[in-house]
Amino acid sequence: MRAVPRLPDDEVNVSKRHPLGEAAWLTVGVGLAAALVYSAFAWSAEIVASWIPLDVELALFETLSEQLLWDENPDPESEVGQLSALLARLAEHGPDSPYDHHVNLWTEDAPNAFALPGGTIVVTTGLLKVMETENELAFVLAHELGHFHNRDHLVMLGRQALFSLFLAGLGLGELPSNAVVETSGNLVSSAYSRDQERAADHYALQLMQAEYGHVAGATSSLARLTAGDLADLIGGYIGSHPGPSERIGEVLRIASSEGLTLTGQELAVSWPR
Amino acid sequence: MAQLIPLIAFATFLIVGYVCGSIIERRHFASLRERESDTRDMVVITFPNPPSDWTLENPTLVCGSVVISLDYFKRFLAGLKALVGGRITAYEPLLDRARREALMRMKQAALSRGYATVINVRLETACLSRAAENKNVAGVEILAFGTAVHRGA
Repeated sequence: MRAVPRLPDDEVNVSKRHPLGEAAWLTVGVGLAAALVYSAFAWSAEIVASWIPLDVELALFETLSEQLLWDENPDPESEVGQLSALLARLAEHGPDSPYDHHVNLWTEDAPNAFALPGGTIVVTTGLLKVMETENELAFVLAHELGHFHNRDHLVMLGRQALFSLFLAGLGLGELPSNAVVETSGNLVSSAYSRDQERAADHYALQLMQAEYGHVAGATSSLARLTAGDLADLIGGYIGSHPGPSERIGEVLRIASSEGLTLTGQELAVSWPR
Repeated sequence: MAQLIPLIAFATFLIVGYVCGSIIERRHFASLRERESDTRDMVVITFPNPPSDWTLENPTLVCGSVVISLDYFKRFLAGLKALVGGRITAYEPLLDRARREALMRMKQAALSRGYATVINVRLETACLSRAAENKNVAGVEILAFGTAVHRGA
């Protein structure tokens, strides 16, 4: 037998399709599908959240509340004591809240505040440092009360839980692009909560008008939250809150349409900043 | 801003992976074609038993093996493909390169010892270093081996 040497195959084993084109199609397709499923989940989370009775919520998050270990009777002179008193005064102007509100102070430099299921409002020490007057702080607390009033914290939690479940179901934990999945998840959920932020701002303004007779401090509070931050540039797209200038504009619009007083005497805070 | 950082890092990895991966792949294929052309006179066959009219002398084992890594872009593409199914075309050039390079090295091993014929050629493959954390295949090893022989008159 004679063997005639030939060159090996150079054609059949590699597809001719360009990998960039394939990547584009796959990314767009999978992204669209994920967005669709996610929206469906987000929508159902909202419905489910509004159906969760309060006692169920309180029971569910009892352990969480226990872990936070708040002081039932904080020293009225302490920061937590003063925050609690301020919160109680503000809450009185709203409709009767079924929650037993507590303030929890976290040692953290970033100025932030958020609502936890069960009625706890977490305030960071960084927030106390940047807020110059009681009115500014009151706006932040009243904003969180607004989230409780609308039960946004549950919607957010439900949505995040559903989203994690969805990702786990997909087995996306195995993808190398976890960071991407998380970031895009944040983007979607952020964009979704902007209406809720506006509603909470609205609620906060009403409480402030009732408490102080004016809403001075609301806009400066918003400005201080993100001073020196890039958030204003990109906040409209990325942040969980609309960008501060957008929110300030919204606050001014609400104030003028509801006839709220924009200027007035602001009260000082008594702790060293 | 902090939320953007992973996104930027990911995009950077993708671009670096794609650019470097493409350049290396193109060069490798060019080099393979050149070397395959240089050694085209060698007889490399898969018969375990040579034809009866061949007289073989001095048989010896020759091997060639290669390990080739995925680039980040291909890994991402394959990850997406794993969601929807279908042919993972991103891996095809990788495996083709690995097979041809392994065969090429085996031929070089034979050539360097003065052989011009390899019979009973086999290919073996192995997935290397499944990273414990994310179970990604880091690369592929292909081993080509066969029996180099001198052919008598």
